Amino acid sequence: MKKTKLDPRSLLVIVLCLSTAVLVAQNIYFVLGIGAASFAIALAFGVDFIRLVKRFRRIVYLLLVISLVQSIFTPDTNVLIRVFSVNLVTEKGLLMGVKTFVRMLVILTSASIMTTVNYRETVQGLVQWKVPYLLAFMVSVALRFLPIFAGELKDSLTALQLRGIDLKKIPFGKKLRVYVYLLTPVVMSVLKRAQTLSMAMEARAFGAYPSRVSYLVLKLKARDYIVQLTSVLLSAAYITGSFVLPL
Amino acid sequence: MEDARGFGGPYVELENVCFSYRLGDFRLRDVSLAFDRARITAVVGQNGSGKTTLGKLMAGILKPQSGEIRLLGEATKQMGLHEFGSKIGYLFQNPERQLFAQTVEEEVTFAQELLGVPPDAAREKAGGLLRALHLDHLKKAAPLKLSRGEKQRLVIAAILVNGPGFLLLDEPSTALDPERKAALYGMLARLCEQGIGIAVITHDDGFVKRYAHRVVTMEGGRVVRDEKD
Repeated sequence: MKKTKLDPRSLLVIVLCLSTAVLVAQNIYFVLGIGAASFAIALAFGVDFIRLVKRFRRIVYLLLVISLVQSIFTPDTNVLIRVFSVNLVTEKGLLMGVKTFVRMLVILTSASIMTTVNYRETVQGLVQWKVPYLLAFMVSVALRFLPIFAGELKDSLTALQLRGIDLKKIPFGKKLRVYVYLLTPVVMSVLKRAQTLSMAMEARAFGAYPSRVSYLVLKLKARDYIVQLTSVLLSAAYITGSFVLPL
Repeated sequence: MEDARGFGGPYVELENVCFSYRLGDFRLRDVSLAFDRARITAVVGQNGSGKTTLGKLMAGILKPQSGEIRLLGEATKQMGLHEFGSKIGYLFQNPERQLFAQTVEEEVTFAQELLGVPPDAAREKAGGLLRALHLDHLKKAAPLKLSRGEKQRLVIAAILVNGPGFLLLDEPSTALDPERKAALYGMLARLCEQGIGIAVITHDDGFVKRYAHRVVTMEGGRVVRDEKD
């Protein structure tokens, strides 16, 4: 994946605009438009489309189920599918389902856009936005350890299956027990790492001085100002338009 | 040696196996090996030579891009991890990743129970294994609070409860003191005498000289030497 030349704060502005616009917009075409735009932006920033689809594959099934539930439980007089006098899919429900699906996809795509920039720079961007250092540091720790925990979860899953357990054939009643077993080593590892990290930080006198200086200082360039301003103006116009043309 | 399942050929067989990771330049090239029961094989080589990749391919964690791996003569291409697990036991470098339960006894029994073995029968089977691996006094202890050597023995017990005919251990002697290393190696030798085939990925020359019946040396993703007794 190529790294973007934009300042991480510009990327933050873009993803904030995308996620705000998709959550606020009511018009279905506007929501779909934002969905398409977020994919296009992700591709423009060098997010690998195939990897993106693979990463989202399992989540997409979950999102589809959530959207379907949303669709079924939204009543409307305009019924599209009726089974045994039960209104299964209504027009309003279908629209709600599609909107929910696209909204969640945009949030996931936004997260992948943020992966095109170094996480350390993202944290520095937050610090220069006056986000308290402790909070920014927590974000950086979480971002740093997420792939490690994902790897550990994968190892646990492998190890569990190597015990002869076919996860697909475990009866539903026993599935919860399996998940508890699966998460135990990961949770223990999280606690262990947190303890080790806090000791290492204390040993380096973390927080001993009230003010901090940064070796890495980010500077916004002309293109960053243009991108940020354009993003804000476009999303403001988009949100306004979406309210003027509700569907 | 004929297997309990009636198969007389090699327990694990790799034929012209090639594998490369999506990222990085490493490639496992054209590896052909056969492993029998009741033999201890040491897989040696420098870091990055492909030992762990070979182990993961044999355990079904990785799938070869070309070539074939057979378990008891059966092609493994369509086999799920759970099917590998009932035939091959794999001990990770870090045994903590293979510990799931709240107590030592539960660690050995839970998979059996999930597979439908009645709890009493699972406990009886576990009791025998824990005794054999000198862990029966720790039945109620929390697995993660055990020493590294005890954790390894516990994982081996949890693996053996499935009745695999082959064990694969990835650098099991890391972080063990000489006394615990000797205890682990002695236990592996006993398992081998009981007819279990063992492959150990190792850097420990002492183990190789004293216990291994066969030494497979890897270099740059290839098998460069295969010395048998």
